Amino acid sequence: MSILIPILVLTGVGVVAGVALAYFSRVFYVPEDPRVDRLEEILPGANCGACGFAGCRDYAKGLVAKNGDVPPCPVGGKATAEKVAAILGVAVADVEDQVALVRCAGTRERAAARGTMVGVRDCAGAALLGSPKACRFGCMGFGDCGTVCPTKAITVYAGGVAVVDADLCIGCGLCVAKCPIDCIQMVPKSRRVHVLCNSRDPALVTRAACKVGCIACNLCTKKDAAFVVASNVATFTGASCDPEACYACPNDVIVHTDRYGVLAFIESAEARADYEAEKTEFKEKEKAARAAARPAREPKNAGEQP
Amino acid sequence: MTTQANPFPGGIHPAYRKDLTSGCESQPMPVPKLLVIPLSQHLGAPAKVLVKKGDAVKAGQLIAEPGGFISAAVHASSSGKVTAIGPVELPNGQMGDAVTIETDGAHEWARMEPISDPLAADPKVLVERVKAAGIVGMGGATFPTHVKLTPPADSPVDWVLLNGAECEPYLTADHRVMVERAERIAQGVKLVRHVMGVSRVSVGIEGNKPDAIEALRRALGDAAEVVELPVKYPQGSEKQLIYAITGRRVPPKKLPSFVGVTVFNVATVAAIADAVIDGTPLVERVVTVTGSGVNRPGNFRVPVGTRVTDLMEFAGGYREDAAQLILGGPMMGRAAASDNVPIIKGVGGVLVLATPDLKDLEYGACIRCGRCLRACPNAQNPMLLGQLIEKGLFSRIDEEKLRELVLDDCFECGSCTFVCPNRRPLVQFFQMAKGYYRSQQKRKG
Repeated sequence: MSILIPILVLTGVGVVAGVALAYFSRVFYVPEDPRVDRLEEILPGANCGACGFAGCRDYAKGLVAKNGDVPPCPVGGKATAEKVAAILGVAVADVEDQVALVRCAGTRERAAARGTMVGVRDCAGAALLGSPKACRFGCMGFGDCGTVCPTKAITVYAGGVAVVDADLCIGCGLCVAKCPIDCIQMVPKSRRVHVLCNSRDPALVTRAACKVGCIACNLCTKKDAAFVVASNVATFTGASCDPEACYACPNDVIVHTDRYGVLAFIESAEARADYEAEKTEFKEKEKAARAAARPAREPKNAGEQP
Repeated sequence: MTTQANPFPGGIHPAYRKDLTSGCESQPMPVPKLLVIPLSQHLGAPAKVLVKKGDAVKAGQLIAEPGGFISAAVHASSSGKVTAIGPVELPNGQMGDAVTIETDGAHEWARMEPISDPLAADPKVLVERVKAAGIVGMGGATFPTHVKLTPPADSPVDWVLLNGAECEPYLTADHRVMVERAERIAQGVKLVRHVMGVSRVSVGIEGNKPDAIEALRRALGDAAEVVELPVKYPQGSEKQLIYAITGRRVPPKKLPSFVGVTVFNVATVAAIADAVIDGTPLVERVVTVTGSGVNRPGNFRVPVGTRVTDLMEFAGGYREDAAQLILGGPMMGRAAASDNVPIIKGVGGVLVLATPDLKDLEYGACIRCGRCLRACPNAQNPMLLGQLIEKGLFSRIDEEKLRELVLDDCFECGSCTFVCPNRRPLVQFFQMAKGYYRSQQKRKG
């Protein structure tokens, strides 16, 4: 029988506490905009903090408080921006889906070494002494970017260069902030052509440091106006271009992702061999075209001879 | 009057290995064909270049003027032609602008006018001269000396210390300066006394340099007392030296002038005398080239801007098993990836270690033995801080005030790393963290 006493006491406490909780939850109710919940639902939920807020719910609150006047969610991109605009009833923010790109193809075979890093093997530590590569702007390959990536989209492969998996990348930009030598850049997801070099050194210095460095020769800009050369390095600014324009590069730093993935272009020997073959073929074709376009000179010369 | 030196807490006793070069008289090095003279050889703003490509310059000619109050002038170390002005690799591994001079071998001088009877001159004139001569702290910190000579009015200096401790293993550059240029240092001491109006000057020298103590005692006479310091690393650190001689403690984040003290390196004081009495700017310094990987270790009087490769050639070249090049001493020096870097005003040593001297450098986890706590001369906690940085918990470092109280006060002497049984690169962690906060600040502002 004595077992009933604690059961009754505990039940009583439970009932009293429950009533009290129900009462106080009404008294101290803080009205929250229902849009916050709806916004949180449509946000990507990566909680990466790239927007500058402490996670997605905080960002949703910020959106409501400022009525959409905050930087757009870099992870959600266009689709999320449209949904956000629909919920808040404001104009769609001008965003484009972005992904990170490590602008370096200087693997161990291609880029000259400057020294061996001893001790703390990470980029922040290496950057204190200057890069272990001869090129100051190339990927050092200790993978600090990979450690901050919330989706593990960045891997340092055998060649010692970090490569971003564009399918996994959510575009939060944390790696860009982490990289001590600013080798990573955010690019529109739709961009198919990348110049895989970041060296802002003059051509001679770049040439000495790396076989696959952009020397700002401007040959690509002549093929397609979407290539822009600024501070000694070319950048592709459009969406896509004729794959043949990429073959203009004398140092093979331009990749067209319709033909090769960035990873394959940097790491795979077969892809490189393919690329070389195509490039030779293209060069010969171009040469033949040039020869055909040139007016036949022999007869003219023959006539002029005394 | 002699002062008994106070031993500072912590510190270590590494193998000093100074006998390799301590008996070698400093030899003048012939001017190399190429001089690479960086514009930023000092703390503070880089100097502003005054010459252009193709100009002919003379030894001692001003080629760059101070770029601000905390900055220093830069002079040509020999006569020749300016062949390039542009970025080069500096001893710290970063890139910086430098003036490259192709020397003509004539070594034609263009000195400043010597100041006659300097002890009767206006102190301001002497400070101007020190500024014009581009003199910076030659112990390694390269703080512009003219700034130190004019302490802020709210913290008057009553005691000037000369740092001749040279606690860094292997290095003997200051040692040789003290032995060979004791008279010059004595002249410099009189000038500093005159400029700063102080009555008390002390020279601190570690007890392992009896010949230097003897030479300076004889040369200085009543001008300054010579204090024999216990042999312990890092005795030559500014705050440790001040405590050892004066018993005053400099609080964290404060300068020595806060406790009424200013410290000069002995070589800096000799350079002040050179500039005032001879009119010679700072274009040459003594550099110790030493280590198991050098054929002919010694002390050399090297023109500022000499590339390490030229200096090594003069020192007999590398031995076959040479494996690592360090600019500075083994404790606080920086590993260099290339010897194509110039010797600048703050580099007192070139250390080349051979393979047998290099130990296994893999490090493990902290085992919480606490040896680093005992070794730290600043009574800090390298163990905890190192763990937090290793894990990237920078926000916690900020939160627990570790950054303010510990990290900013760490002067990277390396004692903690030296004693760690698991070879943890603690100093490297601290440098990384400092670099992290610097970059954060840069991004903000």
